[in-house]
Amino acid sequence: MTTAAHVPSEVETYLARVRAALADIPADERAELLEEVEASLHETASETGGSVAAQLGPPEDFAAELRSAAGLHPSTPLRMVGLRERFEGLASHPRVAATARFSRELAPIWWAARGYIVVAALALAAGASCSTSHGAVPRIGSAKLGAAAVLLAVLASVAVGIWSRRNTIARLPLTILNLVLLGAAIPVGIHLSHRSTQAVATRIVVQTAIVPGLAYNGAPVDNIYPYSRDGRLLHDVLLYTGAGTPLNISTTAYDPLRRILVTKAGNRVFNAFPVRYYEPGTRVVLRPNAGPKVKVPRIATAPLPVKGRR
Amino acid sequence: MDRSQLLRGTLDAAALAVVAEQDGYGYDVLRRLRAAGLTDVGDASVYGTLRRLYRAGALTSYVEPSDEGPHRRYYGITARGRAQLDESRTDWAEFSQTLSNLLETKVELTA
Repeated sequence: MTTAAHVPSEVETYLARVRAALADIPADERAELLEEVEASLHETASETGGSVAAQLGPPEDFAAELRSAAGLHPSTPLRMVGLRERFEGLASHPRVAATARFSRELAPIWWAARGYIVVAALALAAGASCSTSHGAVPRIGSAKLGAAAVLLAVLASVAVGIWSRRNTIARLPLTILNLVLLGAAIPVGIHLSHRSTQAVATRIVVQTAIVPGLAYNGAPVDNIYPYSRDGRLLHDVLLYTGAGTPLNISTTAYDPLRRILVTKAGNRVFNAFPVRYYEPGTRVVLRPNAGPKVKVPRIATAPLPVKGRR
Repeated sequence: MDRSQLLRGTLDAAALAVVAEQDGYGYDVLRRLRAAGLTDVGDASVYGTLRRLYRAGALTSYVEPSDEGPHRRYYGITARGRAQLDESRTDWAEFSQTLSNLLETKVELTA
């Protein structure tokens, strides 16, 4: 029963595509033609066991053969003419024509750019460096020779552009060359923009040689672990400079898990070390004695005689 | 030689001959043409040809219900169709004779 249910649907889809391919012939003639075809398709399907398309080929080919044998004019030339007319209509549309004229006027800019791209892309591919004072000029031997090469290439490219306007031959190779150079413009452009950001970045580094916050030899310090002379890790040690400035650490970035000491007056203290972190969702520091793997040396020097508290 | 090219010019005569022998519907005519040896004949070519011969008045058509599937459109030959078939017969006999002579002569020349 499955084949009986399958056969009509396959015939119907096939028939629908044949009908679509014959859309342009008069309705009554098409109806009679398709009535003839439909009955025969059912016969074909039941006799060959299902696949009409496998037996008869693509429905569009079937329709073309049917049309030709029935002596009905083919539809393709008509459709081609329609396409061409539509394309020509589009080309003569005032806005399209204006765009075409505008790009024709702008073409000399591309010719000049093209000349530069040729030299820059070749220099880039060869791994040549660029002039230090003028980043866009590739060094070919020297920066001066590089600049001369760019100038020559630009002149040659403009000459080719003018020549191509007068001569229609070699239009295809020129179009391909233009597309290739348009592609080569991407790495050249990236190289140029990279150079300019690099120069800016160097300036920033000079200005920010001092790392904000706590640092040791220029590297930021994110924690301090103070140990007593007998090797015990100390907790909540408040550190100050000789000028009395607290050695605050990361006062700006708010970290909800950081354990921050609070004074009796309600002020927060940021120079207490080591900095500890709570387990997420709790107020518990899981391992308060965890620290870096250091071996605190045995101290021979006698402890300072400290009397009482200041 | 491309048999489908040969068929193109002779399918009208072949279809008329089959229908003249006995009325038939599209698929039936196709099957009889194939059984007669025209195995390469295209389905769409036969259906299209029948429709064209019908439009030209060489065939008549009538519908008969079928037990299995949709009803069938039968084609029968008309007087005009018979005249066309006779004409085709004469033309073919002459043409095939001419070509046979030509081909056999060539074979003898090259042999």
